[in-house]
Amino acid sequence: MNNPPTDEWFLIEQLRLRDESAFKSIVARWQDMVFNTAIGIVQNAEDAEDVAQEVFLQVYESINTFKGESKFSTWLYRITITKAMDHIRRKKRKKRFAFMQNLFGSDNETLYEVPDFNHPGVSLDNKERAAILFKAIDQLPENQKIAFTLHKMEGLSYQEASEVMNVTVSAMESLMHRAKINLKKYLEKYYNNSSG
Amino acid sequence: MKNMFNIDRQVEETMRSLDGMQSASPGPFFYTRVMARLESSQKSIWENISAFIARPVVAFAVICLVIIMNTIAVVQNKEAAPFFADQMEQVTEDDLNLAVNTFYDYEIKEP
Repeated sequence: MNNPPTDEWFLIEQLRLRDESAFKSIVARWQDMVFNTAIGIVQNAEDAEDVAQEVFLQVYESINTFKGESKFSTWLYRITITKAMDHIRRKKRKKRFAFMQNLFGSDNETLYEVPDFNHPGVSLDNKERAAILFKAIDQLPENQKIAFTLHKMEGLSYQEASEVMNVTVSAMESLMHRAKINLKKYLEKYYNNSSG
Repeated sequence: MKNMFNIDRQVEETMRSLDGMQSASPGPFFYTRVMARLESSQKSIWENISAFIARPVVAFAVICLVIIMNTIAVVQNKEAAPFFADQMEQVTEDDLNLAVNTFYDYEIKEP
């Protein structure tokens, strides 16, 4: 059992009593962490805001299910990842549906290409390269994408990220290794095509 | 060869493009927007009750309860069945006799 620090535990206990100021403190304390994780996965600021709001609604509604068996931040990361992945799946479904509609001519709306994602935390001179890398990250399998986001963008250690993903540290290392190989393959193909 | 070297360099630089990135933050007044969404998602008591009843676990439990109660009722009726059968026998013999009796039937004395 991993008991949270006293002030964190106090906030959790107060939230269980539906104390609004405790909820406000929790949102203020973890909003950046939740938003940054969400934006890394969904790669769109508006969608990330939407996901972050859903995460805190879930926290408010199901705080009683948090037993303190993991860190509160780990629990929050797990909710964020689940919500973000659900959001992506919903969006893909909508996109497929729109494509089918377009194919059968029942909808005259044109399908627009998704614009490049510019992460607000990336420095100006790296923006262009980072946008290409984000395109590559979006092509990764789900678990590699989550592992890469937690380690590279959230700055979690392999140990912390493995706790969030509920895998062993060696499994986490393997996920990161495969993610890097896949990213390099994508980038090589990208630069080969653009230079040829 | 030179081209390959160039591509490798590009790949490496792109892989390093996220190094030292800052954490992203939501827009100002995020809490206000969360609260507005929370309030709009608070449902009326009847909506809550109907949502509770519609939950698969609850619906399944109710179906199980109905089946169990029916089973109990059937078993109890079976136990009481002999009495019921006797009654039915009486009913068929006494009341459902279709033979029409006239006073001649009663007057005839058998030799």
